[in-house]
Order: sequence, then structure tokens, then C-alpha cells
Amino acid sequence: MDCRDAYLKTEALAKTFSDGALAAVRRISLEIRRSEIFCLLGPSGCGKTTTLRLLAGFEKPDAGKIFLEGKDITDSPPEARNIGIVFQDYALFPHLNVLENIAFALWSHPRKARKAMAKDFLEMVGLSDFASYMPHEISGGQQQRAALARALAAEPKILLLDEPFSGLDTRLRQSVREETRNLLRERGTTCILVTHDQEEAMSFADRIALMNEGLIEQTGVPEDVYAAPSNPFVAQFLGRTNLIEGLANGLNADTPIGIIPIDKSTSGHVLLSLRPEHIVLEPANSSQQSGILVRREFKGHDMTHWVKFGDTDIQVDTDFTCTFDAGTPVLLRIRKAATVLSRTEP
Amino acid sequence: MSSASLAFYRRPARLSAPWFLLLPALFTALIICLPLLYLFLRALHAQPDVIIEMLVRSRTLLLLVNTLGLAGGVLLVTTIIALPLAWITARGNIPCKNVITVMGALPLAIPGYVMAYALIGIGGHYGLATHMLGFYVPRPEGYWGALLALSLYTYPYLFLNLRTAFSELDPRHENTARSLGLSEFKVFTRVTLPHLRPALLSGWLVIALYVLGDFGTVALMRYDVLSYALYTQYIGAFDRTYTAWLGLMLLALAVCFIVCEHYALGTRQKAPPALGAKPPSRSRPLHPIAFVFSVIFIGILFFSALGLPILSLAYWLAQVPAGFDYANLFYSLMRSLGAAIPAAVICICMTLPVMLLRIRYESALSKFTERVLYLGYAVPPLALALAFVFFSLNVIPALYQSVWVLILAYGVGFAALASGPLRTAILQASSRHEEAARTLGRTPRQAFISVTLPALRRGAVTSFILVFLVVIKELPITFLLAPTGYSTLALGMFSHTNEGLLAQAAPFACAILLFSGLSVVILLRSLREAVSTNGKI
Repeated sequence: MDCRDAYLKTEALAKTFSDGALAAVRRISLEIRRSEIFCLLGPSGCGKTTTLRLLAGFEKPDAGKIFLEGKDITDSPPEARNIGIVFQDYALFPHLNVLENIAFALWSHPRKARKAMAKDFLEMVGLSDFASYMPHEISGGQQQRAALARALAAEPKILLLDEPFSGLDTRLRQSVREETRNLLRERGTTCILVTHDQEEAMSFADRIALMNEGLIEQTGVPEDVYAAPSNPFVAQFLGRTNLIEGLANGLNADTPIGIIPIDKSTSGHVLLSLRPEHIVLEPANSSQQSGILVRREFKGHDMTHWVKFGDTDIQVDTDFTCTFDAGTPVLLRIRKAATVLSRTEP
Repeated sequence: MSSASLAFYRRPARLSAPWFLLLPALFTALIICLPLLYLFLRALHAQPDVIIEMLVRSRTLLLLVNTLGLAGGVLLVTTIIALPLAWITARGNIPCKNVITVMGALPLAIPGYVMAYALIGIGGHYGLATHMLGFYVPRPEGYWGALLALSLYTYPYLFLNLRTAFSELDPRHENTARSLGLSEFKVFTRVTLPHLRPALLSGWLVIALYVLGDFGTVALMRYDVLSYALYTQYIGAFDRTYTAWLGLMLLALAVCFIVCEHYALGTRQKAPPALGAKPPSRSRPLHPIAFVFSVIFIGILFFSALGLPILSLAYWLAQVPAGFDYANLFYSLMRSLGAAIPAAVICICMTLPVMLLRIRYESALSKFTERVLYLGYAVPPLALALAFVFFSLNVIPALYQSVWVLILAYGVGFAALASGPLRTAILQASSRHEEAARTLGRTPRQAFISVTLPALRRGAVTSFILVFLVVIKELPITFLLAPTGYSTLALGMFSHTNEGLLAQAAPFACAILLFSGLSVVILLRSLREAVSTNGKI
């Protein structure tokens, strides 16, 4: 762990809603560093948006504390927190034009200076030509940029992004995401992104936190979390994986697919995660423990093969060079040690 | 998706409601409830044995029977008119469907008492029919007169409801029933009618409440129902206790109607929207005989609901005597405006905080204040006016017989009318905007003023016009509460007609028609808007 102090810190935040025994947020402890792009990732209904609303001050937590730059802001109203937000639907004020929307954020500056400053922010997001347009007259991508400019114009200490790319169509999403990320990097803005899209989270954030049923399951750099998920929920949410039961003995485990390497030394029954792309298919010679290739699924840029070992189905991703036909016996070669998962069910 | 994760999508409890909404909303509820309380107090003033004697009086029973009989008759007639008309305009292959739909709604522009006036003007020695046909045609009056006038005026409420329900009905349900082997008639009774039930019930409720509260029509037709009896009792007798009890009976009947509708509606909900694009409703070719009958039906309906009143009015307008006091007409117009404009403003001030609370800060309290708002509208106007008489006499005697009490009573009676457009506007003004303003440094009050209020401007304007136009033609509340000598358009028309001076009443009726015609145009437009907004949500 880095030794720099946390810029934003939450301690065991909890929030229950009156209409159910369910805790929307059960115990959230986060530490976010200055200028970091952090992502809360989880399925819909996991409490990530509630966490965001707690941070912004729209909801009051039942328990727990929020510290910003070491100061307790748990009881501060939203307007006193200096935390900006870009909503999923952007929430541009419909009665103000694009420029006025941005000037709205500059209220603490002298009236005369506001317009010029707002123009600078518009230029920053490339919307100079649209200053006098009303929000409904510009496209979704432009609305997103205008909302971003408005939030940044208030010079927030932290910027919250609530699924800001989900309203855009797939082709636009990629480029807007990249522009946004570059802009935040350039300005060194500390940012928390909320999304349910694991690909977006992994490509956008410096660190991600996986949320499920009001709890954080795992926090870390995307590569690490993907490669070494701590439990079955994380392993499955971040992408496709094979969950395999096995009997561990040191750095190997005996499994239905044979003896395979594992990532930490242990013994006894274990649950393992083995990513489809970490396996290679090879032709079987009769002496070894082989599986039967039962199905191949062509997906364009790659292929998924389903291999049966007794009761266990294993999926293996290969590229176009793999030409095994269904029904052939095959062997698996493991390219990366399988991850030992903790037994806690999601 | 599991029900557990669905629970997260229910709107979470918001931060507590701000004081600048809570206080006005509570004040609104108080303003509505307090006068009604005085109606109860005044009624309970008498000795118990006197009260019992009054309630079981044979006259009371007769009034009850007459009132229910009239309401039942109007419901029957309006259903007979509205159901086929809605079906034809929604499903039939009649040409000019849109024109027919708009024409079908137009009788709303002819208030019940103006309709009564027009029908009365047809018969009689100097009436239009006698004049044209050359032999004596009796004036419509009593039960049949009131039934006719009220039905012709109120059927559009039911028609518009049913028309919307027909066009919302997913034809796939009917097609499925057909494919399961049901005959066309069975499909109608077992699939289509159940779907129409909510629309039918809410339309019936609106009409029943209107008939209960109507005063102008029954007074002009001289049919002895509760509201007419209350009126004669109020102007003729000194026994205010019996008047109060008549008011209470009206109120009780209104509550009965609402409760009945609530239970008849039950807990059944609308079908969930089916997946995929809804295929267009099938427009089915009518059998030639049915087609001819439809055309005749529509022709007769429009002739009696629109043609006759307009002809009759035009006929009497031509008879206006040379010495007609146009200055009086002008003053009446000014007085109508002078009461309607502040009343509309008050309605918006009363409704806005209540609706904002209801939509943004849902709680038991916000539901209560909203119900109270609708209660004000459901109370029969004569009962409401009577409540204000007692209230002002006891609490603010200085204001009794002042125009302020009249305006306040309008506010209580019509605040609920302002709720429709305001609700639409509030739903469109997402609470995200206010939250965004908060994160940009605004306090709750500043955020409300700078972001939410501007977004409600259009809704408020529509509400204003809606209330304004209804108040302009309001009769019963004005009748009881207008200060002596304060004659509005509606009062002028009513008193002239009541005295048999049909020609003198004609210019007043014309002015009223002008305003109420405008209100129907706006009603139709806001209906369309409401449909499109609900579609979005």
C-alpha cells in the first residue's frame, strides 16, 4: 500500500432505507488518494450509487464517517462539501443555455468575470460553438461534456461520475470516455466513477473497488484484481472464468482436469479460478488424462471451446489458429497458475 | 432480477422536507379543513332529537331519492352516449375521426346551466321551436330537463376517458383471446370491458360528483334535489341548521361516491406494458348498417349537444332588447375577472407546495395534504360555500360578505384543478437538477429558486389559465358568497334566466361560452401533454 495519506476517506459507512430490512450500503470503508481516478464497480442494486449519494451529501448515513482532507464532512450539506457530480442524465438546467449552465457554477466569482471564465471551460471541452444552444438542442455526447465542464468549473475537490457514459451509444462511448479521462488526468482531478461495466472500470480507473450487496469485496489495481480475484463473485463479475474444485498440495492442486499449478501454497480442498485465456488447447496422446472438445463457439475476433472432463465443463479461449473439431480429445496446458479463491459465497 | 435487488430501486427516503414547503402545505390543508369543520359545528348546534327529526323527515328522504335518481340517470345516459362514441372514434372506420373526437369533447364548453338555459329557450310560447315550427312546444323542466342538460354537458368526461382507454388497449390481448377461440362479442365482454373498467369508474365518479354539486341546472329546471333544496332553504328560510344538514348530506354523498369508486376499482393494476412495439390498434370496417347507424347516432348527438344550444343562443341573442344595459355586462365581466385572477393565483400558491412535497418528499404527511387538496375539489360547491359562510361569520366576521372570502373559497374549491399541469411540470423537472445546484454551492432554498421554480413556469401558467377559466363560469359558490351587489357573468345570466328574461340573459351566456370554450381547448391540450409525459416516465 502506498504511504501517501488518503485524500478522501470513509469509515464504515452504512445506510438502510426505511422501506426494507435490506441495507443498501452496509459497511463501506474507502481510501482515495489525491488525483486518483477511482472506480466503484458492481451489479445494479449493489449500493454503489447510494455510496456516491452519501459522498455528495444527498443522503445522510445511518453510521460511519466521511473525511475530506482529514476534515470530517459527514454532517455537511452538499453545498458545503465542494464535491462535484456528473449525473447519468447529466442534469443540465433546461431553462439555461450551455454557457449559462456553466456560469451557474461560477457564482462565487464577480459577475463580470463569469462569462469569460465559462467560455474558457467550454473551450476546454470543445463546445465553444454551442455556447448559446439550449441543452435539448445538443447531442448526448455534447451534453455529457457540458455537464463535465459545469462540474469542473466549480473546482471541486472531488468529482463524482455516476454512470456518465451509459447514456451514449457504443461507438461514441469509447471516445468520450477517453477524452474525459485525458481531461481529468491533465487537471489532476480526483475522481470517483460509478459503473456496472467491468470493461469501462478496468480501462478508466487507476484502482477499482468491487461492490456487492452493500459491501466492498475487493479493492486494487485493475490488472491485479482481474488476475487474482479474492472470491468467486469478483472472479465472475470481472469476466468469464472457470471455477474448479480441487485438492491442494503445496503449489499444485489435483482437479478434474489434472494436476495444475496454483498461485499460493496451501493444502486441503480449494476453489480455483482459471481464466479461459490462460489455457491452451493441445492434441491429446492417449496416455494422458484428456477431455473431449464438445462445442466451439465462434465469436469473430476469437473462439471459445468447451471441453468436458467427466462432469466438469471448461471454457478455453483461443485465436483463429486453433482448428480442433468437436468430438476430438484434447489436453489443456495451463499458462498461468490458477487463483485460489476464498470460500465466502457472494 | 430478484425482489431483493428490486428493493434498491424504490425511491429511497429523501432528506427531510424543507420548511419552506412544509409550512405552506400545512397551511393549505388547514385552510381547506377549517371551514368544513365549521359546517359540522353548525350542524351539530341543534338538539339531538331535532337533528333526528330533520334527518328522517319525508322531505329529506325525497331529496335523497331525487338526487340519487338524477345521478343514476345521468350516469346511464352518459354511458349510452360515451361508450359507442369512444368505440367508434377509436376503432371504427368512420372518416374524420379526429374532428369527431374534438367535437365530442366540445359540449364541455357549454356549462350545465348554460345548457339548461339553451334547452329552456327552445320551448315555451316565445321559444325557438314554437317560433320555427309554428305550434307550441313545452319547455323542458323537472327530472327530464335536468337529466338532458346534465347528460349533454357531462358525457365528454366519460367519452375522453374511454377514448384514451381504448387507444391504450394493446390489441395483442384481444388477438390472443381471438386465437383462443372466443367470439368477437366474448372478446369485448371478457377482455376489452375489464380493461375499460378504471376509465369507466373514474369517469362515472367525476360525473356523479358534478351532478351532486350542480346547482344552476337543477335550479333552472326546478328539480327538487339536495343542492336545489339547500339553495331555496338558504335564501328563503331562517333555519340555518337544516341548511347545514343539507350541506352535510351533500358532503356525505360525495364521500360515499369516492369510497364506492375506490372499492369498485379494487387493487387491480394496469397490465404491465408488453415487450416490443405495440402494434397499431386495428381499425375494423363497420357493417354497412352499423355504419349508417353510427352516422345517424353521431349526427343526432352533435345536433342536440352542440347545434341546438348554439341555435337557441343565437335566436335569443337576436331578441336582445334595444335598451339592454351593456355597461352592466361590462361591470359583471370586470367583477368576474377581478375574482378569477386572484383566485387562480391563490390556487397555484396552495397547490405548488403540496405537489412538490408529494412528489419530492413522499411521506404520510405529504399524502395527507394531497388528499385534503382533492377533498376541497370533491366537496359539492354549495356545501363548501355554506361552510365558508359559517366559518367567516364565526372566525373573521369582518370579512363576511367581502370578496376575499369568495376568492378564498374559489381557492379551496379549485386548487386541485391546478395540480395536473403542476404535477407534470414537477415530474419533468428532475430532482437531479436541484441536487446538481447543491453540489455547485447553492443552499436548498437557493437551489429551489434558481433551478426548480423556473422549470415550473410553464406548468404554472397552464394551471393559472385552467383555474381562471373555471372560476369565470362558476355559479354556486359565487351565489352564496358574493357580496351584495357583486354580480358576475354567471350570476347575471342565472338571475335573468331565473326571472324568465331569456333575451337579457343571452349576452351573458355568450360571454361565458367564450371563456369556457377557451378552457376546453386548453384542457384538450394538457390532456395530450399529460399522455405524452406519462409515456416518457
